[in-house]
Amino acid sequence: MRNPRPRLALVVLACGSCRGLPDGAHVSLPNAAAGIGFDDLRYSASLHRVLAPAGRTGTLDLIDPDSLAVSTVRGFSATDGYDGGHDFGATSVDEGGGLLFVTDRTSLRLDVVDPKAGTIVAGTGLGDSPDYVRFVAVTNEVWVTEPSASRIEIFSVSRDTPPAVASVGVIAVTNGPESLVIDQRAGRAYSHRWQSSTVVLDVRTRAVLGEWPNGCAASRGLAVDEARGFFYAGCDEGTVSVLDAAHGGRLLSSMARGAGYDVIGYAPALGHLYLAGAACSCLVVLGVSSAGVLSFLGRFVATPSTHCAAADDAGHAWVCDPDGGRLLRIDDPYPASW
Amino acid sequence: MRHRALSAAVAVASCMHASPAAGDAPARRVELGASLGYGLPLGDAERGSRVSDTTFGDLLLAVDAGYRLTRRVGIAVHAHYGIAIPTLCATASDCEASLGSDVGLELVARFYPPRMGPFAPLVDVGMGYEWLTTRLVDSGAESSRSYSGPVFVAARLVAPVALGERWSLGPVLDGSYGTFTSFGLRTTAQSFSGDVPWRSPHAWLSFGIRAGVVF
Repeated sequence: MRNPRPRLALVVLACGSCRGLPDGAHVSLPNAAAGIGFDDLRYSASLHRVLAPAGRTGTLDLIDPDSLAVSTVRGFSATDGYDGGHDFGATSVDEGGGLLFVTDRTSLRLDVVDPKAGTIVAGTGLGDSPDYVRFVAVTNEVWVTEPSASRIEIFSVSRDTPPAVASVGVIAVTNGPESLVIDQRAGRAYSHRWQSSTVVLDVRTRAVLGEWPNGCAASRGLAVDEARGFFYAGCDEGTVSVLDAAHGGRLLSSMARGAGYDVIGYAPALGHLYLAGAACSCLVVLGVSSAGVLSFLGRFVATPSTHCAAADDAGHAWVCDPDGGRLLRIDDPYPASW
Repeated sequence: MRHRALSAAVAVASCMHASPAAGDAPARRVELGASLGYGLPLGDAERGSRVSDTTFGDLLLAVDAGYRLTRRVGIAVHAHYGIAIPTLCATASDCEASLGSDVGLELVARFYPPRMGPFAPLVDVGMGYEWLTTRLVDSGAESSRSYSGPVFVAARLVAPVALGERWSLGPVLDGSYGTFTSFGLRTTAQSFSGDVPWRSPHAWLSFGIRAGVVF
């Protein structure tokens, strides 16, 4: 198709390398002036809150997606300095069973937060430096990736109040694990190797079910659509692939837009993927059809330090801005990709 | 439209060659040039994907060969090879392996404006074709994007200073405007290629230094 707006071409070119001001509503987080090393961004439908482990600030921040009001849970490792990295304090979170599970990369602890009380109620030490924490509902466990030890550490969570948390095992993932997502419906966990493939695990038996080529030179984020049986692999180089989880990880579609992706967001109700990249200073929105075919929907201006995105259930994409110590809420204007 | 522009340039060149004024014939008609430079990308490789997403720019090596029809007009062909610097790579060896390429071929009309002090400028205007490949290699795993398409307008301004009777040296400012019509995506799992469905313009703005010799 020809460019529909040729007269705008020169204007577009003139601004071809402009980054511009980031799009969306900006949510500054507490004590964030120096910047925050975000490394995870989640949304809890049951709490109706975006969950932002706020790194060096020593807090877990919960953001109301409508009012943008921020509440904080304190008690994690804190420091005033920000070095541009994301290796200090609380860096990953997940919600499950009415609790929040937070890993602290400095104290090397897994903390359990009661979101109603807004306090840490339990915790335990980690075997190695944590990357991502995810709750496994069917086993009432918490899985924590520990890339420097090339393993996933598994913690049981008792149903007591407060719960007792204990390490109960590890799964070795050589050349990984990078990122982690749980398909609660299928009882599977997915984690990347650093290059080229994704390891598929049975959450009950902890057995490796398979290893799927994911198309990535540098594997990064991932997501699942439990209802449609799709697995999404995001790559640092800007490629995203859709794999058919119900048929051995058959590759359904790939697309390359932007670059520098890490944590990716997915809105299952819309079939939209959100990809925030530092190399492009952008948020790219892709649609996934019922056949698993990707389509480009749009691109927004983000910031040069962004590398994580999340989706809420109210039609918003959330983008982290580490250097700005804030989140961007971008309204998704595109119709559902069914 | 691009055909008309080139046709007009060639027609002007031909007319001026067909009826040269007395004393208008240049003493030396053939000129060769080579230049080194750096190119900055602007615009989109395709809709949603800027050229600058995957490359900071090109280290350019270009060569040209021209034939002077009159004192003021000639024709020339250009070829360039650019080393595309990747925006992403983790280690020195990965960055070296991730270097991409930008290759271009252009046919241009060459104009020789009057001298300006020590400079004997030349201006090239034409069109051509471009092939761009960017890649990321991570610990041996490689993914690449390739694009190709027409260059609608390529323009170049060179301001050489004579270095003796035959040689010259001077700065060059170069710009090109085009669109990619074909793409290729090679991942670690599969390769895809096809027509770019939603084309979008891009440009390169380059600067460098050129050495020339006439025969």
